[in-house]
Amino acid sequence: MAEAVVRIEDMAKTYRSAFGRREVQAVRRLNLSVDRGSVVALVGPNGAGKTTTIYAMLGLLELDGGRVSLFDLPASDPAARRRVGFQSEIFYTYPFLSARSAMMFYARLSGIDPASVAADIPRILDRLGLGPAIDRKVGTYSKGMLQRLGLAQAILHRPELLILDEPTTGLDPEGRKLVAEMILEEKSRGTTVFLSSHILTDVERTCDRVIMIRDGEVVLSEPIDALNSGADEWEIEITTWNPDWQSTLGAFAAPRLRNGSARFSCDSSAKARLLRALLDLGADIGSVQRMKKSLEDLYMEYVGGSGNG
Amino acid sequence: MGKIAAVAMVTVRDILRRKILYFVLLILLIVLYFSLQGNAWVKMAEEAGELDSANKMRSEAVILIIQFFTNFGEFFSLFFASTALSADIKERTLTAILARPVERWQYILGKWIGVVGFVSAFISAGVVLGLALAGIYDVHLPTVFWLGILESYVRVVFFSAVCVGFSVRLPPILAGTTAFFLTFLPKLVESQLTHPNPIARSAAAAVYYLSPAVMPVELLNLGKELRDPSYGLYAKILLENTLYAMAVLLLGCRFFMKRDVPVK
Repeated sequence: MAEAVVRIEDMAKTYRSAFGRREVQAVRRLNLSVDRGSVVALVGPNGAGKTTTIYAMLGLLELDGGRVSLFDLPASDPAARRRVGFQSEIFYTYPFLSARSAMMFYARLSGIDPASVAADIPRILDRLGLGPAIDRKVGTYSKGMLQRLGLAQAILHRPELLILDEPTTGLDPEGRKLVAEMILEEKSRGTTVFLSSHILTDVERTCDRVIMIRDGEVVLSEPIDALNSGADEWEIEITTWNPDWQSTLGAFAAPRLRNGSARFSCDSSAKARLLRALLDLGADIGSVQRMKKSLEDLYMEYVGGSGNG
Repeated sequence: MGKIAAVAMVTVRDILRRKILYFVLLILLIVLYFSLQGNAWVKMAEEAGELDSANKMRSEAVILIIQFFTNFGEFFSLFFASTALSADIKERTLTAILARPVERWQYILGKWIGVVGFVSAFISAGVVLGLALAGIYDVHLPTVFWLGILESYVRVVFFSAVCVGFSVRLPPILAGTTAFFLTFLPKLVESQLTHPNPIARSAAAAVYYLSPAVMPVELLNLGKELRDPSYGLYAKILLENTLYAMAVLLLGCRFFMKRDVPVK
């Protein structure tokens, strides 16, 4: 059994306004774990509790209940955070720093001698397309450049756990591709990656597991592969449709007709009977394929329509 | 130590981009200009044989320069210390710092050291300038002057520590004004210490002893030598106020450990 790098047990967090006049329960009894070396996505609508969960993992919040541990240490323990890299949804840093000096600053905060990473800084920034702007003030950076710098500072100290909050926010397609590549590179290095994202195609492309949350609770936690293999729906396409066949195929679901061709949907138990019936009728079978539910379908099924943002 | 130093350094750099600093420096240039203009009056007084008046004018010019720096230094410590934490929250730079293996107390200490370091350097520049002027003008500096300089540094330490400590829970404007108000509190309640009502008397005593100590004389005044200076008492007050400031800073750290970092 794989070692759990992150373990969240019965976590609860309620935000209260001054004097307790207003309360918002962001997370209620949240349970999840993240195995070492995996890439896990936390998916949910706005206000579902994704960022609260991430902040709790970084020890930035005082919880109302439950426990959050990283590497079997409390999340608030700096020894745990030493092994973590974090990129926020929008990376905010001091505008008067250059990318190089910002990287040095965050290295110092991680307890690393800046001299030991001085050579790595240009390499990492170059990899993220910030090489030419390395000595430019961060205040002059675009949103996309700031996001890349955020990722650069997160991976600078070679963390064992990388936590990314909406890492592709504000990035163009090229930037998104680059981030996806970086995540896969980190994974191949053995880094555990935990990310939240709204962009489900990116999640499908990079993650091993998806956790969906709604109203502060986990509603689905499955490996990406299991989501696909679990679907028992087949589609059979015939290239030419003859209306006379309708009476013979009446026992099956009605076909979807398009440009003279027809498509039948059925489960695996009906598949063989339907194929035999079609072959007996002399139909030209174009394709037989297993229908996969996209992550978007699952998202709509589990959390769709519950967002508040 | 490296983490505290990193936070302190970035705090100083953050202060250096504040517009108010350059506004004060502009005023400083104007004050310097008029101080040098005053030199003509000193020469006129000397030529007229009014040596006492000339010496007094020289002393006042030195005091003006030094007090300019110490007064603005105290204002800076109030202003920069009470906004140090809120600026990081407002500009959302706090998250990336505390997501690192940085203890909350290291962050608070770094912020405080940054403010104290900057303001102390500012006052030191004023003292050097004042001493240079005193050398040129041949102004005698009494022993108590040095204690007055020390008092200015202690007030900077006090204001910045109390402001940083209070700003953990209070908005910056309230943290700054409360810290400033604290220094007047003993004077305000002193008369109530002999109030006939025991409740009012006890409340006044509680406020009096919970407030910082007040220096009974103005030390940074070259114009007069104190007849009977109580150096022991002055030193005790400075020490007491330094410890007071450290206690508030410590409490601030303690409260900050329980504070959420704003999510959005």
